[in-house]
Amino acid sequence: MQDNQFSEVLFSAKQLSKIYRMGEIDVHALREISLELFAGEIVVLLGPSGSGKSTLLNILGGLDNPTSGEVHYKEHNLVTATEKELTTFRREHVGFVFQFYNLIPSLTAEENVTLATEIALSPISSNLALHLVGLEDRAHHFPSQLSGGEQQRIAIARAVAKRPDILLCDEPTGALDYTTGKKVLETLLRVNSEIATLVVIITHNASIAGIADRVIKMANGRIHSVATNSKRMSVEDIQW
Amino acid sequence: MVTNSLDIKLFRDLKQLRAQTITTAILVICGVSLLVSSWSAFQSLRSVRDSYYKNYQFADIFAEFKAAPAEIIAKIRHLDGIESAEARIVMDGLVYLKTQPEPALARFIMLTPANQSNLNKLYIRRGRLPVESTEIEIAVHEAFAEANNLSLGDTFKILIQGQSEDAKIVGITISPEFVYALNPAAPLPDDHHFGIFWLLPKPLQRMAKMKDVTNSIIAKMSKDASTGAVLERVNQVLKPYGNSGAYERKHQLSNMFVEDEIRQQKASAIITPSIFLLVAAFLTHIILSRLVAIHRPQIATLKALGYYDREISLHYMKMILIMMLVGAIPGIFLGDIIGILLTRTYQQFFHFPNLNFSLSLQAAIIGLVAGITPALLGGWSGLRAIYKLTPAEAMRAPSPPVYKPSIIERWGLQTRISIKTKMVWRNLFFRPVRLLLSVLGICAALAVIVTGGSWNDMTDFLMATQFQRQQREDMSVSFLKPLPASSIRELLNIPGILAAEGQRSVPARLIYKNHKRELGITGWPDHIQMSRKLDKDLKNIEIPDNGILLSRYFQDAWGLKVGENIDIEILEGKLPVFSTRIAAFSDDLIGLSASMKFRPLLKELKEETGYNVVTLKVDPIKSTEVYVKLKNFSQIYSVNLKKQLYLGFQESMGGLIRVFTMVLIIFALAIAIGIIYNSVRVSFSERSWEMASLRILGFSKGSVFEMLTSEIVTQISLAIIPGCLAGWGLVYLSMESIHAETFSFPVFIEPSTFAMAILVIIFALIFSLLIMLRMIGSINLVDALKVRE
Repeated sequence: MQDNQFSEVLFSAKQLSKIYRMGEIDVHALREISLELFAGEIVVLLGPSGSGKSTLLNILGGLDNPTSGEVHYKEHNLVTATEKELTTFRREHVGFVFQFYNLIPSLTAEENVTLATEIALSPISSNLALHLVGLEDRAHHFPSQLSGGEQQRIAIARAVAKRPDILLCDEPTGALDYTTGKKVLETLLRVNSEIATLVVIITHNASIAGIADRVIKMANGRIHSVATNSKRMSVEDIQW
Repeated sequence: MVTNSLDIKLFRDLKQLRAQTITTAILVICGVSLLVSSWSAFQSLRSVRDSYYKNYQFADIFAEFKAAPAEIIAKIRHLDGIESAEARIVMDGLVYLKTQPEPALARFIMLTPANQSNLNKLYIRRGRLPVESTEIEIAVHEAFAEANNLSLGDTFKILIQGQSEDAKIVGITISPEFVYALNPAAPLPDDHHFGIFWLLPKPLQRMAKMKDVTNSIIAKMSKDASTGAVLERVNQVLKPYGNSGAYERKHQLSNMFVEDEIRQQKASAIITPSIFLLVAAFLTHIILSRLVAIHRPQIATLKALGYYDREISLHYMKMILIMMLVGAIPGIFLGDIIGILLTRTYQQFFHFPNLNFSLSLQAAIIGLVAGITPALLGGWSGLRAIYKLTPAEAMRAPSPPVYKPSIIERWGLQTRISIKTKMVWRNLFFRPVRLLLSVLGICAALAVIVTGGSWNDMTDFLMATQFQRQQREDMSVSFLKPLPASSIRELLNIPGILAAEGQRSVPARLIYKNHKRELGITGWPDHIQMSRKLDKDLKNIEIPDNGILLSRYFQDAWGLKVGENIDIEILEGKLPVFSTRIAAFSDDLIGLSASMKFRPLLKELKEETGYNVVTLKVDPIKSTEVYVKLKNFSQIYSVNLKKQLYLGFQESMGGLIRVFTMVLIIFALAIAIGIIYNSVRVSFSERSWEMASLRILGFSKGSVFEMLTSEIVTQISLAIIPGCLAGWGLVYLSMESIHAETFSFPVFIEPSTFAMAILVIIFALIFSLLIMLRMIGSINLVDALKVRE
């Protein structure tokens, strides 16, 4: 099913379930999901809101624990890991890109990137990271002085500056207009090709699926289908 | 764990929080400066006392008696437990200064020649010690010299045992025995009219007619000796000579005042600063809890980036640390300044060789630690939320907090309450601990203001009671010698004198078990009109026909009871000794008193007649003429105008109390604004989203303002009564620590003081609301709704 170029399994999840208590209601966010993710591939998780994509992403990124089931990152068991071990895991391997960017408002673009490089094992310089997203000239701007797209690209720069093995992106274009959204996607593809990071993109926008190596569709907390694109489309060619 | 970007974030966040930082810092400044100044003053006093007492060989044991042969000292020196001892003569007399018409009371002390003296050594401020000379050389205590502007070389007449001679000042000195130079028989210190003087044995023995005789012994105990046992041995030796009981340093008058002040200073280093620092801790707690809530997404991001909980907590702790240091460091410097001022006041009362204020390192460290620790604890409890927050959860909007119908609604009143009121109450009771702490904070502010204001009330009350109800005369005249009743009638011939009443006043020593106290006893004729003794309820107490009426102090401090007997040694004339029954206690406000009926007192004095104090009612128009006439009377020792006493008292106490009150009010305002402003600020920022929603729903700015106002007004209303009660309690506690021998303040607070306290709180409220009004005006409705909280 997989191309030969993606053979190293980074994540393997078995029978993952997650139940949230929201106030006084139980929400079944994930229902017995199993999947594998490979080093270097681009995966799009597609599904309507409430389908469990973000929950899955959070569990993979060590931000959250499943209620039952297993997740392994390489040989590390993420389910039995302590809070501290999960933090170390994120610190060393994971980059996050969020729908609302989550930049620290009191830090400039460059300082937001440095925030990540300071704690990473083998980071790239913040200048290089900013260069990668094409925003070196905005280095000294505060988030409030940047457009949404620029903020998201800074967030990507911050995520990739750690030189992560995995880049987890939760609706990275969700808050952006069409053109800016495309720019952000291009940036993600560039990161994937230049530092060979596994990129997982959550979206409810089916058009984005074209740029992925694999597309995993989710609904109601379950995996509905997994499709492999024989050829990835360029960002220019997709439309929404 | 220093991460640069986080530190940059820290400083920028602090800039955002500057209003809260400043209000908290002011509280810390107040707390730390009070703590540092009091603690340093406590330490300075203690260390200067220790070194002075040690270097100048302050005696451990004191004994006064009528007279004993000088050889007795040899016996004392040989007693077990005595290391060294000296015999001397202590004699009261008068000093006539050229600068003031009335003589001053003097205590003359025999100066043992330097080569023989080891105890109670004099520190020479200026000049030298007296030496043998043709004229009488004398050393004067600094307090008296300063009050009367005396300099070296000045001469004046001294009167001892009816014999008068000239003396020349050769030295201005101080002694560990008279750090606080107080006339034991006078109610208030009066350096103009009471002084200590040292002269060589020869002239004193001659004038006092006490050759080869001693009436006072001072001794140093050897190490490890038991005080009780030594005192007993000394008493045994002195018993035949009219000894009224040797006493230890602990009961020495000057030392008692010094010790008291040190103890009070230590207490005030603890009590008041604690209030400020606790309030600061509470503020830090709400500021930080709120900050963590606002920073939820940021904290989640940091966690997602791989920052450990402890790194994030440390980041916020650093923030508090800086907020506190912003207060603590200036607090230490301000403490230094207050300490210097405090020491200056001490220098007026306490005479040490070098009472200089030095900011002690220990006080600075205690100030720093005390300034930071409570806030760190307060902050820490606010930080627990960081640990509970999982990053994924933090990325989502928090689920709506679990509100419940407030207690009041559960009582079944809900149908009558508007939705807005319900929101207010539910918000208040949503965080009952915070509500409680806010209310307590406002209580603290109220209590501090009430305390400050009460000083004014109590002095006014004290003055009114003392000078209008107790001392009802216009003038009082003291005579050098007791005079017969006919002399009083003569006074009535002076035009302007409307009425005259005589009294007899004698210096005496009261003795009960181990206690003793020098005090004037007043003998009151029947039907006296111009003077009153009052009880707690300001009711007149009749002077008993038999027995003695004493200040309540003796009941409390000595454990005396009505009906018990007390021994009395009269310290003039034939030095009679007698024992009498305690008939009642009077509640004196200023000083201590002992009163008997005139006749029984004369009987004990073994005298036939004699008034030596006369109180006068004077026609106000002729007051000056009467005063001048009386001053020229040869028999008269002093004339006191009540008005002058009153003004003098107001000058010395009034100024100090006004400053003190002002300082407390400013401090309380800092607490009030700190709490109310932060409370308003936090409740606004917590619910800006809710407020924006209400605005979008069509509520006016006015009704949004009203809701926030109702919350804080409810908190203030809840605080008013307990706050005023706490103020009363604090006043009561402070009164307990006042030296009961000098003043006995009744706890008396005017309603206007409570009103002022409430007004200060309202002022803080208005100030905070004005700021909030501006904030409401600036809510950007669209932005507010975008904020993911």
